Amino acid sequence: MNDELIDGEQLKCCFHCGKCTSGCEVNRIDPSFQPHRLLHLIGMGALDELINGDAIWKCTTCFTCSERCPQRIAVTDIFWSLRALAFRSCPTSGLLSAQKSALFKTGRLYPATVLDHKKREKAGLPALSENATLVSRIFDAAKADR
Amino acid sequence: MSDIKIGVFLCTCEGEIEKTIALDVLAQEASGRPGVVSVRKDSCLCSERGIGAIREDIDKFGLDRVLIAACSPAMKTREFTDLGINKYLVERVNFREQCSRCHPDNSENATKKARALLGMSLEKIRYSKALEPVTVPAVKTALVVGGGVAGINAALDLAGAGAEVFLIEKNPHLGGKVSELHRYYPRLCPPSCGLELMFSKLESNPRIHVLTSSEVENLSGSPGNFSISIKTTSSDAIKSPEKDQVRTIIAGAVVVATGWEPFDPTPLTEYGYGRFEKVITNLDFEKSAREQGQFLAQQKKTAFIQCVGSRDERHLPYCSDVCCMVSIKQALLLKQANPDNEVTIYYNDIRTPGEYEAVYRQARASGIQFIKGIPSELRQDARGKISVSVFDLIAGERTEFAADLVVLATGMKASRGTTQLKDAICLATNKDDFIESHLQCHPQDSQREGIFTAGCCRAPMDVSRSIESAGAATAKALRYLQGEIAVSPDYPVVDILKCDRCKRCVEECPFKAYSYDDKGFPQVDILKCRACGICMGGCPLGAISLGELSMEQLSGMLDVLDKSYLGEDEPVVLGFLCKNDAYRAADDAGLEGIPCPSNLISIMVPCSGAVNAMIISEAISKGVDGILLAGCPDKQCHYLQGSALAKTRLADVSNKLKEMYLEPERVRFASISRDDPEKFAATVKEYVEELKQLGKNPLRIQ
Repeated sequence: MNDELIDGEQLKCCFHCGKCTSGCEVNRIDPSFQPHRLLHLIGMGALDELINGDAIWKCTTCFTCSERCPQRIAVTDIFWSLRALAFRSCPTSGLLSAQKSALFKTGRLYPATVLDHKKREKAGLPALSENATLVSRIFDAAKADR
Repeated sequence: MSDIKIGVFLCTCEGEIEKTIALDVLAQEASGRPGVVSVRKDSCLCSERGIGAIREDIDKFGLDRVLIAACSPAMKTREFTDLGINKYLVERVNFREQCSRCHPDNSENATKKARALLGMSLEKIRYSKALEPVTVPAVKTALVVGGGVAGINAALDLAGAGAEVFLIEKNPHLGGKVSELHRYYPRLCPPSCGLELMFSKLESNPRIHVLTSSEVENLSGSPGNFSISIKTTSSDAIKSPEKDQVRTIIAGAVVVATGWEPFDPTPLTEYGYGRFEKVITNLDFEKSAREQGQFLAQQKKTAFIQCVGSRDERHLPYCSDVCCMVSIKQALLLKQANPDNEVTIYYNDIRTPGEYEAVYRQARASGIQFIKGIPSELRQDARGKISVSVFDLIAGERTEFAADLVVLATGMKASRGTTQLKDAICLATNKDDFIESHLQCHPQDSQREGIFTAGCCRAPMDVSRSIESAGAATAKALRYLQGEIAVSPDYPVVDILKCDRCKRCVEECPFKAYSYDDKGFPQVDILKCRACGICMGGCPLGAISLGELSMEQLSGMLDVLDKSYLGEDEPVVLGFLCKNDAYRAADDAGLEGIPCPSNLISIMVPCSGAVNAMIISEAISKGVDGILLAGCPDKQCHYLQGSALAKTRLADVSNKLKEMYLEPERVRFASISRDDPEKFAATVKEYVEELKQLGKNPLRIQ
């Protein structure tokens, strides 16, 4: 387990009441997304499987589970951490990787279109900067591999 | 002290001790020591013959001190206390467990260590004083605070045992929370039946005086003779006369039975208690079932949600003990009244120990649905039904239930009565506000001698356990209700010529046994004292001594200890071992033959908190190479904060050593559990090695 990002001690206090999943809006739509199960899998050491799977990206971070967890487990924060871990160990090919390098180079996931520029101008917003230094600092802070 | 007559008795333990220790040499040496008038070696001192021999020598030589070098002082205590001489004048030296048994392969060192131990004990015994138990008069009256089922039972039990009892209740009526219930479990009978029986027993017992609408204002005095002022407020009480009467009751013991209060689930907004009419608590359920005849039969779809507020770090972190059985009971009543009711219990864990498991099984058999999974929230639909949406953890899928009644299984918390009383009479509570001392070993005790707990003021519990705890509290209280109380003379004595009234003893005593005399000097209430010696350990002037172990004795023992008893290059470790745990673990190390360096000289202390920093510093200044203070793990300490205080004090000594350019490693604390002789031996071994690296204490005189 990555101690830096996931509080294992806190995670071990889960006593499987299922309140997180009962209250999860995503679970109502996609029954395969079960927060209690994901917590259990982390505890069982299946971190790689989770990081490489797509479940962790389904959380809408509404914080209902964290809010109501009787053991005060910061469930949403744990999912965030899993995403950060996934991001760090991101494979070099694939869409995510492409987005990652685009983000690093230009500071945004998708190139701004002519339409975007026009909309901004109309709304009185300043022109978009092509400077990616700020994003680069975020990359450094998150210790993400470029 | 020149006229003392010490008899030294050496036991070979059927030849076992002698195999390792040269007893004849030690006997020879002892006979030349000041005050020693007789020395005898015997093959079995604890036998009838051995005891006879000791008694014979006592008569023959007119002995007034007896030193027995045999097995551990923790053993054969009965045999060696009844020798016809005051037991405080009998000293034991641990030749077997802590010498011969733990150094079987090194006869030479075992003998050297035995010689050192014998020398120290000979010095200690010179200062021993004959002490007799003190008898203190006590009244035969008890006070029971709280007229619920626990308090009533305590009152009946106490009166049954011959005590005069005052039972006080802050409400105008007796019965407490039980009078609000519809049915008891596991037999599902009405509580009124049991209560009425109890009330009539109260009525007919002339030794019981009931004061309703009454509260404790304050408590002073000691066990045996507490003085409690009680205020009776309203005049509509059953038995209490006039308005606002304050009276004083003298009681030998107090049983606190201030009960519980239901947890209010309003803060758990997700369940809508208070907003949704059809969401009620388990106690609301009892009220409705009791007051509305058709309530049970009318229900068609009922959901129970377990652990509401309990086992919840945001509310009550503990399990409230009763809620599983309460819900199962209520579900069964519903099912009996209307078999078509689709009763569903949403649970996290079902806890039904002992006989209650049969009720749980009965509930399952009756068709009550149990779903493992806790709803995250409740919603009310347009028809006023409550929709319960839960992820069923066993099925692995979501399940929906439209209930027309949802019962929240809310738990128990400490009552306001408990909190008020705690403040009025200065009682300690645990982090959950229940009255507690040492839950595991002394569940019925409060942290104040003579004050005991019955029922839910100690922890959540059901009716039968409350009644059980009332009986236990009664048995404990009876010691103080016999007309007199015998107190063992182990309590501390303050030397007021040394005392500078710093109040540390008063502050640190875990049992609030100290108060001030009219000149501001601390005085110990021997009835409140548990003889842990934490005051002796804390006194900055060394002005406090226990009956069985004085500062003078400790200092004397340090003086005579030969700091080079194993030779110039071997370090000497002085171990202060707590009586309950570390000393016993050290004995076990010997019994189990776990090798332990002979560099350790141990002194038994009642608690690691009883060791004064002055003694530790003195030992270092007299050339001891290392001090090992061994107590029990923090939470296990019978004296609550003994180990913790010992650690703090030792850290202070350690800093002082550093300031004096001595190695702070020369003092060490070790948490040794009673059952961990391996850890004890390993700790000593490691420490001795470390001290060898450090080298000799520069203060050791060549």
